[in-house]
Amino acid sequence: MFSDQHETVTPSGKGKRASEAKGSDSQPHPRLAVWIESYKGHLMRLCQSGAKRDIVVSKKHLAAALDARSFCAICAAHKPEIDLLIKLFGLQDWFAAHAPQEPYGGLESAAQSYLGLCQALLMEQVRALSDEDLENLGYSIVSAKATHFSGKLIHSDTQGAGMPARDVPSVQPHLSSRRLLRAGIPLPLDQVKLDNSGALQRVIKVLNDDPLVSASGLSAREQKAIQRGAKQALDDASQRRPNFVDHRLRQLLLPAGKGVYISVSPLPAGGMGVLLNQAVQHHEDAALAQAAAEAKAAASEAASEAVSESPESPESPEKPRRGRKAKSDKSDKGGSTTEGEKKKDDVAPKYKPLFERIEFPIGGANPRNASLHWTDRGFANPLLFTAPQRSSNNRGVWRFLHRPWSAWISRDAAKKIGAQIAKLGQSSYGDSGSLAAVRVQASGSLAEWVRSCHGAAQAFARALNETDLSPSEGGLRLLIDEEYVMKSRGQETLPALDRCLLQQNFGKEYRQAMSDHLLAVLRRRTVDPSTGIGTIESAASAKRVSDAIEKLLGEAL
Amino acid sequence: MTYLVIDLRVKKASMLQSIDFITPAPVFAAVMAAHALDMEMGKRGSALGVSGVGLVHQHCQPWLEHLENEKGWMERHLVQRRGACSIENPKNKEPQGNPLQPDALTDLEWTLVLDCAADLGDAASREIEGQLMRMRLAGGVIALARVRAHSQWDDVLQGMKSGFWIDDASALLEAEADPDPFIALIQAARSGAWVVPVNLGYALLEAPAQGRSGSRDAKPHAFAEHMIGLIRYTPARLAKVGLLPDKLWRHGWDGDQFLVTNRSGVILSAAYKLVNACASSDHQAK
Repeated sequence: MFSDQHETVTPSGKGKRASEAKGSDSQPHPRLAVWIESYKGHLMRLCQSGAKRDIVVSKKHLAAALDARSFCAICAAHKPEIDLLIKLFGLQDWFAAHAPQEPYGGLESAAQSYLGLCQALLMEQVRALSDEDLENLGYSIVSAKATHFSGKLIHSDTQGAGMPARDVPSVQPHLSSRRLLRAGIPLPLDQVKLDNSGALQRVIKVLNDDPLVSASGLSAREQKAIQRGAKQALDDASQRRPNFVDHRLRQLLLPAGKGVYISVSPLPAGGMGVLLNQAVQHHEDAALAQAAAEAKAAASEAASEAVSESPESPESPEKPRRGRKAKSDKSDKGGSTTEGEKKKDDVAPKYKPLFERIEFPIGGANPRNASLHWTDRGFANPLLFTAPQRSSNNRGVWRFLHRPWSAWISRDAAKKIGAQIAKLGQSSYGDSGSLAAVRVQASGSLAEWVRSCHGAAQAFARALNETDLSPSEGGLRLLIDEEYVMKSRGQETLPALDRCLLQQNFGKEYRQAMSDHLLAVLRRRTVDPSTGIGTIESAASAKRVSDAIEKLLGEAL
Repeated sequence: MTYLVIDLRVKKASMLQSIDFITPAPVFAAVMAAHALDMEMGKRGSALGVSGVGLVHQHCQPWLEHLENEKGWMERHLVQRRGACSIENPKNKEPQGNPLQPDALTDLEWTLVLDCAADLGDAASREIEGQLMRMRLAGGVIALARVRAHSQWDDVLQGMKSGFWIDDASALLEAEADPDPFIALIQAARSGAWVVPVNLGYALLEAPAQGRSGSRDAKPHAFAEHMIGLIRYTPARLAKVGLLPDKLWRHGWDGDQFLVTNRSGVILSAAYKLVNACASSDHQAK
């Protein structure tokens, strides 16, 4: 997806932004709806942009059209191949003035020939350029706007802080541009200042031999000429030396001899984040694929076991559930799921990022100012790595090795929740298990307690994941897993809730297990000691409370 | 010769290693803080002569949290704790009022072990504590500094009962199977051992320039890039078996790369050939 698609051509030229054009004439053309209706079936569909070619030209851009010809020109300018030629060679004005007449009729072939004509017209202009012109074009764009390391990622107002990577490989193993050079991995370019024209992004496509460049009609000779200019610009950029340091940049003093210091300002590289993100994505995809393959193998094994056991197995001990179906049961098609399907659902792998990221407000309100790679997933979301912590919950973790996890409820909270349940039972809802009754039940003290229990369970699951048993295990970080806990407890299986906490699985299985557990805790703690009678005595009341808890947990996930 | 064991408690130290990595382990800052301490004490005529720094991680408490959404549930993504960074005020016209890069902060408890050439006693220890309380570590305020002096290395090891010894594990980035250092880094971080990426140095992007406007203390200035390495946490009880002073961290130059490391076999120079480098950068383009 191109980041600067907001710029478009208008018949009046000047490459106005749609918003500006709209500002001068706030009312769109009265025939705009007619044009959209006429061209949406073929021309607009053929002009969809984005990596998947699924982004339709927005009405905001189309609102700048003054007649059918300019409407079609705006559409054509969004076709990626045409967009590349227009923005790379700065032909916005020219194309606005010389765009061909709109295609006649509603046939796709007419739209295709119109777009072919647009592309041919643009290529005619490009062909008129000599190799030297093309080199100069690549040189001027890269020289003015491209860099590897940029202070804009530190503060988007920083001036004069763009440096290209050095062409010196390093023998040190550290992750740096020099190490990448040794590994033969090119560091992606970034911008030294905001490139509103979109030219730099197109030059980068040429440098990367993007298939779109060939599709746009540029010959190998023309591409090579632009690449030569761009590479020359990068070589020359390393000779340029800024004559000031922006006060927004950090400066470290490094000792360079006895009493001698050098001041150093570290600059980040947006391209480094792109490469890191690609590697992380690749690693996570591979892990997910492996998990899926293992789950599939386990499911097929379980299915074959079920088939072999079916002649002897008695009827399912599970009774059909009564009452209104829960949201989570929607996929069950009237409760007619087979055992095989259920098991398949249970073992389906859940996507879970392997690395934690934090939200990091680089670039402030307008991250486009900071980097060319602002749409990258890793941008403003750096990876977070933890260090050992003295966990206050160590006691809880050690307790878990011998007993199941249990939610805690204060006497006050139990009293309030008991009163809430009793009050609803005495109201007109009575023992109703209707959706409205469940919604009313899922509020007040009960909601507050369920939320705190869910928070505690999440924190406990995290503590389990982070607890380090290494001092007694020979230096490796030994994680607490199901096998370890079963061994500690001397049991062959674990309760479903404990299993979910160990797996950090907060999905459907967790909701059901947690709901059962919280209901059991409530039942126990809302018994009146004087009478020995509990608030949640009837099955209907228990079902309503259980549904309410499940509903509350469902809202969280 | 004296070994100083310094227990530090630091508030709001920076976790930012580079723009892509956040780790509560300011290794570079800690090693260089020992150098700064040496220099400050030297100004008073009691230089320490620090030749190595040992790092023991005790505890960290990052200033991160999950925010609540409008329904009161926790959001999935971690963010900096409210109040952890200042917010840019568009009305503020003073450039000094503008904050720098957003930062991620942590409270830290670390123990530094300094190998000092000077013979130091209890009186010097109190003086060092006073100096430390006036310093910062990775931008964080040093809230507590307790210094103990030992004349024998074995005494240092005997006192090392808790925490995690920090080693330079950057060699893991040189995987033979795959030359891609990103892949090596990811695999090392998920290898099972507690290995995390941190900034362990800076590589200059240009020769230092003399007289560059705005340079700190009018020193020669150069732009640089981060050198991200790996560190490994090993429980102190295990690490101290056979631990020798030559496994302490040191700093120095490898060409125009400034590094901190405790890897053996890495030869670092204390001096950088500044005169030649600056001479070649006299012609600055405006």
